[in-house]
Amino acid sequence: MVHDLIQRLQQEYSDELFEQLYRLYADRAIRTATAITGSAASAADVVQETFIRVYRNLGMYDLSRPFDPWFHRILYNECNRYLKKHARMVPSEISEETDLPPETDTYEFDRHGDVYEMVQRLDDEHRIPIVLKYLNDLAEKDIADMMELNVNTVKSRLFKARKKLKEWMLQRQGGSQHGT
Amino acid sequence: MGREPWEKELKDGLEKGTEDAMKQQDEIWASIKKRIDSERASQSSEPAAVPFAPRKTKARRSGRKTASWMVGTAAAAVIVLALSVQTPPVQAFIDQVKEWFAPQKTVEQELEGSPETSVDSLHESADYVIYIDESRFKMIQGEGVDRIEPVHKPEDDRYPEVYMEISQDQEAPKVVSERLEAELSDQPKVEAEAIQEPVNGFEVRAVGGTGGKEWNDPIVRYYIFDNGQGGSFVVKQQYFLEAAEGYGARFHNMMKEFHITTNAGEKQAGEGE
Repeated sequence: MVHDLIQRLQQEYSDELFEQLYRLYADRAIRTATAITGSAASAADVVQETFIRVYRNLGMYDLSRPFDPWFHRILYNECNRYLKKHARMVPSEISEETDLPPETDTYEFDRHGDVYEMVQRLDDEHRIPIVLKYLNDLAEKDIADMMELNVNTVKSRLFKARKKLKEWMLQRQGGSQHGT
Repeated sequence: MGREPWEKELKDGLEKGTEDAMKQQDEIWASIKKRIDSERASQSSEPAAVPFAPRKTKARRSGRKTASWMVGTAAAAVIVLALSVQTPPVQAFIDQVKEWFAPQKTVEQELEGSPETSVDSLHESADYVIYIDESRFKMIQGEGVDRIEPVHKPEDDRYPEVYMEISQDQEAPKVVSERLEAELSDQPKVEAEAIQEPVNGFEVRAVGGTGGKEWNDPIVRYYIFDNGQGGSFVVKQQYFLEAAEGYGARFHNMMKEFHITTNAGEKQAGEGE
């Protein structure tokens, strides 16, 4: 479906067709951008820029290749551009060993116990792979390609982030059990 | 692979946490449409609406003798090398050998995990031949430097230049690679290594701009390898981060179909004896 849509758009642009493309990808794009930038307002800007970029480059898009990785890459780049603009650039492999909050860290899960908030507590380099994996169901290889990282780096970041999230979630569970 | 319950909770949590943002969907579309309308209005005076100029379709020519040509090409390459070891080069004969390279060949490659087939055309230069997908690239032969660049260049000046240049240097590959590495030392990220694929020689790669954090960080990749005449072929590829898996991969694969056609190989083959 996407393939046909793009093919038709490449032949002749129409708002109607481009809107169809937008509707197909808007959900995941908005959610991903929100979870990465941490704000719905920023996500609106990011998604808008993403689709403008798609519009500008669709003529050059190679129909023999899958659309999703191409789209995800643009979306990720726009998120990164936003983070950089707001001094929250995603560190590359050079600064890989950024530590997560220490084991002893506890948050007031009574108030901040929402899982989404926990994800937001992660730093960018750990949060982004989590968002891409769990919100977009992307494979580690795809995440690595998108973030220009080694697959093992992605695995490592996911491992650390999952460990921390699981810990927090268990902690919250324990806390709420005690509280009830 | 199944997910653990807490992972399911994680996914649900992410969806729940981003639910509010979904209310903006129509609003975002309205903004996108407004910007596209504005861009199209400003482009309407131009002869072609660039973003949606129909893509030149791939030159898929059915019925070509693909398999036999590929065998022929491989045979020609072997003969070039073999002859260069046995006899002094004779230009007329070399030219004849060049003719044995198929004018076109079907190239299959994988880009982003997807197979792609193209019919690439033979381009000859003084000392080498290379196959180019003419639906995407064109070759401009210059004095001492041949340049391969995209047929359809992005008009948006935010895109760094994309091209591949082939030249020769009188010095040996190792010397040239060290020199290029030194020249690129002011770039945020520089790597150099000996390689065996797509050519047997050296690769020097530099990432400019922010060193790999921005979509448009320029990437320069050099392949330096023996030209068989005591010097080197120097292939410079330039593209940008976002195009690494597109142009970067295509340039890389293009080099797999690079064949030296002069007495090149004499030294390489001789070394192997």
